[in-house]
Amino acid sequence: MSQHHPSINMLAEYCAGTLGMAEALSISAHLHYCHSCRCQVENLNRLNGTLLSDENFSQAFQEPSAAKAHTAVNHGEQSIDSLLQSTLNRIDALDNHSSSETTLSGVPIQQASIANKIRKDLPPVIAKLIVKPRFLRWKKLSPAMEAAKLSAGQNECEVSLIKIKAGGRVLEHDHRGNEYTVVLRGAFSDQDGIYSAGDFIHRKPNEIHAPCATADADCLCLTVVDAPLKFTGLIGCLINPFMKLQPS
Amino acid sequence: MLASNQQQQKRLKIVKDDDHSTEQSNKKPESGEDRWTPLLVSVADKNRAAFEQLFNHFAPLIRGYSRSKPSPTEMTGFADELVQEVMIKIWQKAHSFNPEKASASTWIFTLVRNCRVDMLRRNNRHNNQTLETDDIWPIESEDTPITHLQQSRDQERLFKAAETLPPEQMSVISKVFVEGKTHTETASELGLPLGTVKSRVRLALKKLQVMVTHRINEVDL
Repeated sequence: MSQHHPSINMLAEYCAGTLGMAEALSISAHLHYCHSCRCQVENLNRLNGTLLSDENFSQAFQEPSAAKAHTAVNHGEQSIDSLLQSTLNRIDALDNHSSSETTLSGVPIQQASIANKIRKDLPPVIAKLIVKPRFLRWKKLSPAMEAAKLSAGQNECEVSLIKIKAGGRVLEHDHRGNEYTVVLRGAFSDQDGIYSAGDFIHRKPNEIHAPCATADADCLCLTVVDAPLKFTGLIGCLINPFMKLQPS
Repeated sequence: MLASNQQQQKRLKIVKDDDHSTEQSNKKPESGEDRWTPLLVSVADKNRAAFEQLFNHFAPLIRGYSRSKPSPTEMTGFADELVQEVMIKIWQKAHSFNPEKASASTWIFTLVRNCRVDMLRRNNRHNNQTLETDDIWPIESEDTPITHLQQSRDQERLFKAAETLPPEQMSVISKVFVEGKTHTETASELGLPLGTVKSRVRLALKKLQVMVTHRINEVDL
């Protein structure tokens, strides 16, 4: 049971579909471990569902002008009848060629569950991202820490896996942007607490910390960073030029 | 409201309460009534009449949903395309809908949200398709089985609680959920500090009893 969770605000943006892909990925990874956040997400989805399906309810929340925009018919849009007709036509075409289901995007792929059998403990979404571990390019950032970038299909954030050796310490560093970390295996600690599998940690710009893996096991984390880190110590000054944000 | 004769002939059976779907707009909804879940269950059996009722109710709402959100202006017909994609998905996936785990409106909302994210991603050259939208925003909920009765009570409670929200919380909830703005966009549109928007969202969700217990005392981080 994780002890550290994303804020309700971040979960609200996740459920509304307005959170960026990379941040949403980190939420999704946390949800794999966290029953209470899954319940929270269900509650929020239920609220969204009610707002969508009941115009009386959603209009109660709207400014009069927005409510008008909500119901007005725009030029260039079809009537509901003709929209229904063309949808039914498309359905007929699809049903006639029922093997052509793959023409629709967003059909979830079995790959994730296959990968998940190999790496059972990891969230399926992460297992799917590292479905071919040999493609991961691990880079040593310090004696205790390695990082491998993940390609998460977006260009706003850097998404990486971070490995910290058992008992290893990461250089003290400063965040220019937001950093979201989800512990996938093992545990680490910093001045504020101990984080173990499933915990979600949000570091804001200018927060300085020096994480340290616990002594019993290596620690594997997912990190999402929207601006490069800055190491604050003397050695850090030498490393900083190499820590450019590289979206993938 | 009805489609062509050809489509009418395809109706397998007439669904009960046929006249309910489109005549509700000016009536206060009977609290807690869920007409859509039984219809969606019928769609799983490829019942066209049920599908048309769902369509007539949800198509204008999905359009409104799409229109109220910031979407790329060059994509003309975005709202209509979204309606069609969602409704086709409903037709194809209705068999995987489990009424013991979610209400139709919640399930349909998640389809709408994911279809919209999908369509926006398709326009993005960085989209490498490693991950499907459904991988990051799963459609299935697995946790708490709910009964119809519980669902209805939830709905009823939500309606009652909504009436007690102060206007400043209403307007924030409207932007964040109905209009799908980020907290940052909401802050700049309402001319408020981001922290104020965050705390109003929290207060409103608490009032609406949407927050799970351990979060009730959550403060701004």
